[in-house]
Amino acid sequence: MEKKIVLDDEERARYLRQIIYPDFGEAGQRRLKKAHVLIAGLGGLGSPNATNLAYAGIGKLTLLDCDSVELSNLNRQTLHWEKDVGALKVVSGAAKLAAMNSKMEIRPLNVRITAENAGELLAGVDLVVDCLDNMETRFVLNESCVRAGIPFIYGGISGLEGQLTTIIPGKTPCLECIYPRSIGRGKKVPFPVFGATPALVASLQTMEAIKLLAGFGGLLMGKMLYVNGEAMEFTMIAIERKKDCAICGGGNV
Amino acid sequence: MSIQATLHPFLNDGKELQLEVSGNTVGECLKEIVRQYPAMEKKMFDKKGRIKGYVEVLVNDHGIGADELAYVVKDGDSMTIIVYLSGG
Repeated sequence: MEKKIVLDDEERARYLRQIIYPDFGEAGQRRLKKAHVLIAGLGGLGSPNATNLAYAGIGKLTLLDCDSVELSNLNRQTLHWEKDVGALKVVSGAAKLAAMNSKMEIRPLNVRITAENAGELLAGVDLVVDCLDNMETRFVLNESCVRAGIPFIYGGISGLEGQLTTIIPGKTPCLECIYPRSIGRGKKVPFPVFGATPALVASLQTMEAIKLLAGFGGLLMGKMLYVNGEAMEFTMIAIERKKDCAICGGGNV
Repeated sequence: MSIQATLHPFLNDGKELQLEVSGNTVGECLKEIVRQYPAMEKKMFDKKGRIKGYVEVLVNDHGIGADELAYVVKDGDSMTIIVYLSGG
């Protein structure tokens, strides 16, 4: 039998300013407490996403990253501090997140997602927030989420630009409806980035995550939001399912 | 050389654009695209005339490595120009 989720008095007080939001209420807070979210990548996008979700009262976070903290990460990867250079990102991140919210369960995993381990990594996960830094792994994650029927919030950045969309398997375009799998293999140069860019895109991803989990508001379904911080322009681009998409079937399944 | 070029929807306000261009290299073909659609220059190239880091050119659906502008194309090839943001 499914465990009934209740809020104690401390949680009602802690999350009061969310609970009083009309479309959210105690029911919304209980849904967040019940939720298990996987953060794929604990860098520029992953740090603020994990922080926002920890403060919002998510019940369980799985943190996935296979890198260690480097000095050049510190302009944007806010979960990692000077003393953490050289440490595993999931260890560094888990320590900060545990201090932010001691009631949240944290599962730090120092692994790279592959087609082979995806099933095990995604078991019991309600939502994946894509905070990866390369397309190759992102395509693996997209395929794994579509196969498992797990919603997936894509985010990507470069410089002062970013984009995001919410992928609901079977309902919206998946990543391979939008992009051919052959992209992103040739260019391995470091991308330029200011910390404000992933902070902005991650906050929009978290907003999508909270609405999706709590069941209110409108989502970026079939829409890519493109943010150009240099020109300070926000553009919404309609995206469509690809007919006979090899991954999601494009609505023909 | 006749090359069938496709511009990814994100380069053109959400609408895929197909056009025929001519040139011996990817660089010459891109120049031809810019001649027909001047707005593409800012979207595809940085101020030093290099292809932007998040723009990728595929020839016959395959990546062509780092030296994209010099890549030689032949009659009947297809070229796809894609913009994507992959950093995290």
